[in-house]
Amino acid sequence: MRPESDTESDNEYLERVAAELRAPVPLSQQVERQVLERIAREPGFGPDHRSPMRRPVVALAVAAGIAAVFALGVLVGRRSGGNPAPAVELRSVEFVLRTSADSTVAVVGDFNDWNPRATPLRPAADSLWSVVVPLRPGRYRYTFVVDGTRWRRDPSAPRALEDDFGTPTSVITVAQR
Amino acid sequence: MLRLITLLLFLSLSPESAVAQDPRLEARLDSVTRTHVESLLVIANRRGLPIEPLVQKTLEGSSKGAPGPRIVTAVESMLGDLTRAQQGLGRRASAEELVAGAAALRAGATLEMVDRIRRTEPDGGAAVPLAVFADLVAGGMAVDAAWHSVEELAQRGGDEEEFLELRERLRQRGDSP
Repeated sequence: MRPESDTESDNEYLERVAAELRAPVPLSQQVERQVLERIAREPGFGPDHRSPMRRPVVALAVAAGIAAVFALGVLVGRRSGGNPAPAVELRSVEFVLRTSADSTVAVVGDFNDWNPRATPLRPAADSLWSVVVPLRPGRYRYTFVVDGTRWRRDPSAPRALEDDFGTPTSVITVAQR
Repeated sequence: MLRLITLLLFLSLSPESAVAQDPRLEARLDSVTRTHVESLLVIANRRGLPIEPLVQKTLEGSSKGAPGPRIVTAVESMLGDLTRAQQGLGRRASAEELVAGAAALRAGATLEMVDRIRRTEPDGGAAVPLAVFADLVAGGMAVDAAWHSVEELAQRGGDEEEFLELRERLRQRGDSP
């Protein structure tokens, strides 16, 4: 119904009607209770019947458990490998070989992944080749590779007893103290 | 719940798998050999043995051009030696002691001998005496004679440098060429 006031614009009239419609409608307590009960019976409301994994608290707890198990596993993995030795300083070890190499001499062993390119020896006078390698205390098996093809054990060091691959191998023991 | 348990088991085991999956092996071994070696590394990890000596044994075989089955056999053999060394030296032994103990056992020492050295060299000091024993035997010295020399020095409280001097002295004398 249109008010009769001439001063009220159409917009003002519409706003007033909208405000009245938006105002909360007072309900009796009985109606309110019935509505809430009806809502509670709807799926997805009321007591939490979701899968345990879909409950946030449970999911967080399970995630924390998984993280704990994983962390424990990592710790166990890191613990293994014998007891870790305390921090020790490296010892400089010089490897020397007298040989008539045409091109290269390298030392390969337990300290450089047996990589022929990792530790080349430098030539000096009288066919003497040498290199200094910092090593932690321990027992290392090693050998020389001459010209990339010939395997030569160190004549000045004990030979390795265990020769699983049929090539000459030497042993060096680096003392800790 | 079953899926959750499976996941937890998988995650708890994954650090072990991570330990075995060494990129150095992936780069230098064929897939069949690598799988065999990785399974041995997992066993070593479960036993609390050092992984690195087994990796180095593998890399040695690879560098020397050994076929896959021979590499696996060598790593299996070393795993057996390390396991026996752990029996003689105890689970608190360092990686260096276990490596030296494995060499000593392969040279002819018994578990009782290794245990006796452990008792005379507490606090991780068994590595050098055991390594020297292995070196002396590898050089041709009789097991009993080598053991007598090493044990005598151990009972006198010899330090690591003295053990290495003993080895050099015997080598120069010709007892252990």
